[in-house]
Amino acid sequence: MNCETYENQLGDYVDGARASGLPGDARLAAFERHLAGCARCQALVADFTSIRGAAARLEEHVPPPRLWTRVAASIGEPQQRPWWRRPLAGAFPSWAPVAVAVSLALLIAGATWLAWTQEPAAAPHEAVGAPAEPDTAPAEEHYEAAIAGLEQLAASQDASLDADTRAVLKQNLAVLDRAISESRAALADEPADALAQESLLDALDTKVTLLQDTVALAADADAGSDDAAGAAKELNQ
Amino acid sequence: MMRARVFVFVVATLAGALPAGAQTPSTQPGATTEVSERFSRSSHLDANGAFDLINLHGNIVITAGSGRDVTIEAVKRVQRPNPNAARALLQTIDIQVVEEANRIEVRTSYPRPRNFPGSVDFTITVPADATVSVRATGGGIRATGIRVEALRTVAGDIDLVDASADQFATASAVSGNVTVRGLKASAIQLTTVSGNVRVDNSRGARLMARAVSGDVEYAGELSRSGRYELVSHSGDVRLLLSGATGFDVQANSFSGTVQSDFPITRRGRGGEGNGRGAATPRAIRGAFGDASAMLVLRAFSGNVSITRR
Repeated sequence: MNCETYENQLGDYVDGARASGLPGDARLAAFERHLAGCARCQALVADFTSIRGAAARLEEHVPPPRLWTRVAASIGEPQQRPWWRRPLAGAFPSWAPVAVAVSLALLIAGATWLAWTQEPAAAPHEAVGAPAEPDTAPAEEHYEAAIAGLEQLAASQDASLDADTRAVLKQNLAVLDRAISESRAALADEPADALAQESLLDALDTKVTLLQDTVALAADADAGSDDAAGAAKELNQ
Repeated sequence: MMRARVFVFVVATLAGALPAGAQTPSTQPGATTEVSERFSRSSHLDANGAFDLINLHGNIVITAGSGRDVTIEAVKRVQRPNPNAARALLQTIDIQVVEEANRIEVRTSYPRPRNFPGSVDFTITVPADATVSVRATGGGIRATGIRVEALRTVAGDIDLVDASADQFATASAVSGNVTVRGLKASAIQLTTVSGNVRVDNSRGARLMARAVSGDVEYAGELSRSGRYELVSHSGDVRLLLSGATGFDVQANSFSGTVQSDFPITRRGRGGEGNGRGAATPRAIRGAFGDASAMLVLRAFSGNVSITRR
């Protein structure tokens, strides 16, 4: 198992977290076993613990009152947020249901990732070439579920996009499918290879993003065309 | 939401009702006629305003100006074999300008059918302190000197020059190159699927640049304490470094090669049990100089290189 795999657990450990034996602590427990035999991580824990201690002894600085005034003022200005940070339903009221569907797909993917990263880890191993890296299958499964849902949604709105845009999106989805296939083939040869795992999950993640964009574009085109058609109709009356 | 001021300028008018000279028919090869119409609007933003543009097809050029004015120049174009049909279609393209609370939002829209034979090219000037975001479907985006938040296009290149961002700056294309020069931001995110990403002389605490089938390249100095994550699946990842900033690097390629001009003090294999050693042609992990910057360079089938500029 790579030290990098445990970045989050290392931080938690330095903050005082210890494995309790509950299922949710499986990765922390795996890190503790890894730590026992890894000089590099032991050194990092020692360094971070020392820094944490030093930081705790630093003099406390209170932010000036004007800072809070500015924060409060900025909270009171929701209209200053750019369009991509506004709630989707507010920005594009006509496709709020689509936004909800996309959000759900995102939620699935996010939850999947979290679930995967909290899967009980295999026995620790420090030897080079040791097998039993975390299996990407659970994450893949959920990514695939999100992709299937988004593909269905995108297909139902396909007519909303012009032919050129559809062609570009299709070509790029094919590029991503190739990347996914190549990563899977690499993992079939070297199941424990961290780079192949990262490449596969990167490609799946990018495909989810592209499909979300496709759905959003189609919905946006619908909203825009309805506005335009409505405006043209009014002027013609 | 309460709107302080809302002006919606609907450009669509009755076909044929435009003043003489507004349309400029021109015969294209293949007996296609192009008609065009200019749109012009000036407005104003107070300090730290925001400008958003949503366009479907057409190129966009945005430049930061010295004053507080926003100028929007657009050219609507339609190509059809029949000039009358082209003129009629031209009138159905809307350019809406909405002003509210120190924000200007411009949006173009077309009616059905989807395969609309038209486009709108924009040339825009905004105050230098206005935050700019652009979303386009087909067409390139070229922005100079602006304060950027997000530039997105599906099919087209993005060219961002001498821009800045208070915090997060993002530029993404699906099928197109993303080229950034002289960008200053706390965090920079640049992505494309089938294009290339190239970054020149830009400064940020964090840079994330990704492509799937294209190359990813960073050229310039590293920021001390900066984190640089450059990733491509089948393209090459290249770092052309100037300056003396040291770095900690983790560079990997699954089936390509990894090469560095810099004398890197390599870490041992301890704790890196993926079968790739610290000194194999497919992986380099170690430090150069004071290791103050952090580099994560990853390619699946492409090559990774760190060279002196």
